[in-house]
Amino acid sequence: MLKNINIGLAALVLGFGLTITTSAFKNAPKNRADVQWNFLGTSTGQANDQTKYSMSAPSPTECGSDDQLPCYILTPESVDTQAELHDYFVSTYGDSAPAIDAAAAARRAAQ
Amino acid sequence: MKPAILNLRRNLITLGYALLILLWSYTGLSKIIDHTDFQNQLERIFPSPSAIAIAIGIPILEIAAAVSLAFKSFRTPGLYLSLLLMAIFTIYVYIVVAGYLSKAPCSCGGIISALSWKAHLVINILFLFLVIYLLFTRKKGKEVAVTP
Repeated sequence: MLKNINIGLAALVLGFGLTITTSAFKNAPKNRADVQWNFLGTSTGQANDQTKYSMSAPSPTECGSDDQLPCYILTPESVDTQAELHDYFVSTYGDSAPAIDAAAAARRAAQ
Repeated sequence: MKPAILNLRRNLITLGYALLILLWSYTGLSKIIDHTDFQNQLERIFPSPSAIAIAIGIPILEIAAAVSLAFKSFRTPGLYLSLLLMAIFTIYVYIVVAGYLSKAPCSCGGIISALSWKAHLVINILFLFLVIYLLFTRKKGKEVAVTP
């Protein structure tokens, strides 16, 4: 009976079925307007250093690999440059590295 | 050639097609389901008219590739479409990994979206090689018929 199944058709149905039944999107921010800033630093003390964040470059280690460092933070959509990120850190967290570290949406292992 | 080797090749080719069909159907439909979000992400990089065209065109092409590959008679155009799509996506991911884009959307879908960009690049290159291999075997007429 298995030989009579069109493997291609089965894969098509499976692909569509998986898409429909699972959450099909990446770790999208809860709020669609949020911007994800990936942390590239090597210590929690750098959490308030806007130059250690990137919207495009991935974090050095996988999110969820450990809880040593922040993996990424989420900011409002209007925060899309590093200068604005610095202002955001100051206005929201008082530029406190521990506070920003604690607010990270996900964490990762150190390199 | 020994039957065992022929069977192995047949199974690998079948698996290759199945993986491609799964990939395109999954990513294509996921972009259609969340079309608005996909378009919003594209508009961060491309001008609005281009973003709209891409947001409509890409998922259609992905679904078309998946459907084409599912039926033996249409596999050749499906493979060429897969080659085009995968080449475009691979170049795009490379540009992101190389740091040429300050903002990069990735409405990749499901498991794939959980990968880092570098891992994404590796996966894309592997799929690219898969498509090229399947095209090569099909052209050489070495593809063994898959039981319908």
